[in-house]
Amino acid sequence: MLLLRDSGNFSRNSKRKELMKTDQFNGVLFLIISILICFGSIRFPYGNVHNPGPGFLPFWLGVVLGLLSIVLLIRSTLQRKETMFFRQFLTEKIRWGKVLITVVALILYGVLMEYVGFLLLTFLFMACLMRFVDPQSWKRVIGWALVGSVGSYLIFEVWMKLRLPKGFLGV
Amino acid sequence: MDTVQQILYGFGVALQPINLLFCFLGAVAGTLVGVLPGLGPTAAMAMLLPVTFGIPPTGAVIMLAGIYYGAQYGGSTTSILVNIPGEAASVVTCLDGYQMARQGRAGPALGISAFGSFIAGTIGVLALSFVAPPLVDAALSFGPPEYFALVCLGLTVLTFLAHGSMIKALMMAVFGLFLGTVGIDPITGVQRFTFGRMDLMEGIGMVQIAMGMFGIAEILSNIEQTIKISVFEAKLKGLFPNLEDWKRSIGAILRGTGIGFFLGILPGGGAIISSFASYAVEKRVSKHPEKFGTGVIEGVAAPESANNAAAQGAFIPMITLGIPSNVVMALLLGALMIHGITPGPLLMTQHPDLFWGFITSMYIGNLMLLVLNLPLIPMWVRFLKVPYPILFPFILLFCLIGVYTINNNVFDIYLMIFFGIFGYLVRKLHFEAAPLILAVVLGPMMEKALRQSLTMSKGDFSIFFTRPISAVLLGVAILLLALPMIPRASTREKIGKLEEGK
Repeated sequence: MLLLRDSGNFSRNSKRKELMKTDQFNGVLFLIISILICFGSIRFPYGNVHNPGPGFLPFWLGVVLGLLSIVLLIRSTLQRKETMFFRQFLTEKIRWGKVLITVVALILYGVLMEYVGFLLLTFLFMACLMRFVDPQSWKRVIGWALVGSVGSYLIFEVWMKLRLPKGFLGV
Repeated sequence: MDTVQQILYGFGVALQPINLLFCFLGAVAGTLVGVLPGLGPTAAMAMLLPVTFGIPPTGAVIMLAGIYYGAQYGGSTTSILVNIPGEAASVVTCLDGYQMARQGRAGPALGISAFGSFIAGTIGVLALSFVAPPLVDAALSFGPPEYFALVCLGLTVLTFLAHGSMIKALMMAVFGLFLGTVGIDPITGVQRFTFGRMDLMEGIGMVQIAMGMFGIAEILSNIEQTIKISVFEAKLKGLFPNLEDWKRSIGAILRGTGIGFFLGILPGGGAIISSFASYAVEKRVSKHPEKFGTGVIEGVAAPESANNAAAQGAFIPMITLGIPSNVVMALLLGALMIHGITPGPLLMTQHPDLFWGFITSMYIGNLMLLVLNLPLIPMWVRFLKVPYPILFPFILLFCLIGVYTINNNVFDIYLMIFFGIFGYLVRKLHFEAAPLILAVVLGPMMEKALRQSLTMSKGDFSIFFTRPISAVLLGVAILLLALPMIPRASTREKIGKLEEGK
């Protein structure tokens, strides 16, 4: 579940002027979310303190979240300790591209599922991920994608009768 | 004694062939996800949750529980052989376990962690079956104010024990409570935050959020960097620890069991904290603390026993009060609720077959794991050699199938992906996912209890402080919230140090 990794890159570029600390960003982000929650919930009946209605709890949750965000914002602004700056979050050596490919593949899977059908789409999905995220040889890719798609089809559709979506191929 | 009779009745249920099969499947699946780094028991349980919809509730719970304690066994194998924790509760085991493997003592290290786990698991289950009934009696007198207080305490403890900033953990919990309010309000029927979408009327399912934030997010953060796993290539021989090993570990195993069980009961506690705590204790009581980290067998025996005992202890608040103490318990609770069973003090009397069958299945499961784990270690090692680029599409596929089959609705896939991205990003911003998930599960419970209590008292908030049990629970919660504000003497720092093994 957990992979050890080096996370000691705090304040790496301390000489440059930093725009924002990560927690300042977090504070602002959740402050905005909390305001949205509050505005969203005043549309529901609030009831009163003695008989809270459906808008009561969400409103106060929004208020508490907002207060917590402000505390976080103030604390990280005042903090002198070495901390993580927001730009490092953006420029950290992360393979953003690989993450993006995976997310796009997942979304496409959802979008195409009911048109392409489970068997074919699963094969394509697995093959793409294996080939493009950390490229494996084609032989391996096709082999494992076949095992994955046919195997899961047999287990979930044939054996457990879960009724997965069929596409234009009828499977 | 009454309890003994009921335990025998439980064995009658657990030993039915079908339940034995579910127990076995759960234990095997658990060991597998425990062995594989990058896939934890939480994600695995979330993935298999939809599969359990089609089987009887007793079998479902037996299987899901098997995954949980099975993972505690499996995690140690990876820690010892690869120096990567197979799952979070085995982080400490790496310290001495891997050193032992490098000295050619991988066999005894794996052996003692399996035996330690077995001893701890068995004692844990025994304690569970005797502690649970009196707790149930006490819990029967709980009304809405007590439940409200209990939920508050559970969430507070979880944020209190969270890694990193407590404010951020609280923010996650509050946001989770908010997510729990999405859908039709059960009391007035008003739609809240559904944006007019049919799919959101029944609320955002805990399974979709859990699979996103633990399954998808975990994988996204794993593929953002290249992972190389090198299995320690050594002949595994002599899995049985010798007499000297036993002499040195038996105390560690028993102390680890005690620590693990009691930390496991605490809401928000559980396997991870207790493995760190027991390692620290062993170091303190040891005659040669300086040798810890160089491959001493106590350093493997103690945390491995503790995390198993904690896995048993964590079931107590869930089956007696209906309050999950950690995310895994929340998933189990979700599974029961889908089957129309509300866990709580009435579970023992209304569904004795489920209650006792489930408890006794854990005795049997522990035995199965001992038999399963030792001889099959070479096979688990082979699984470790499957490269991650091949493995992760499989995990994603299981998540997709799992979440789709809940309602045969593509919208659930989008929800899962959304929470996957959300979980990945907040993780990068140093937030923790656990308080959020727990809050999603507890939120509706808390709101109902709050509104019922206020109706009972005709709107008087003092009801929470005039009833003794809820006053004590809320008092502890407030104390925990206030503690970090006392500078320097903060207990959290001590816990942090404990976890670093200092």
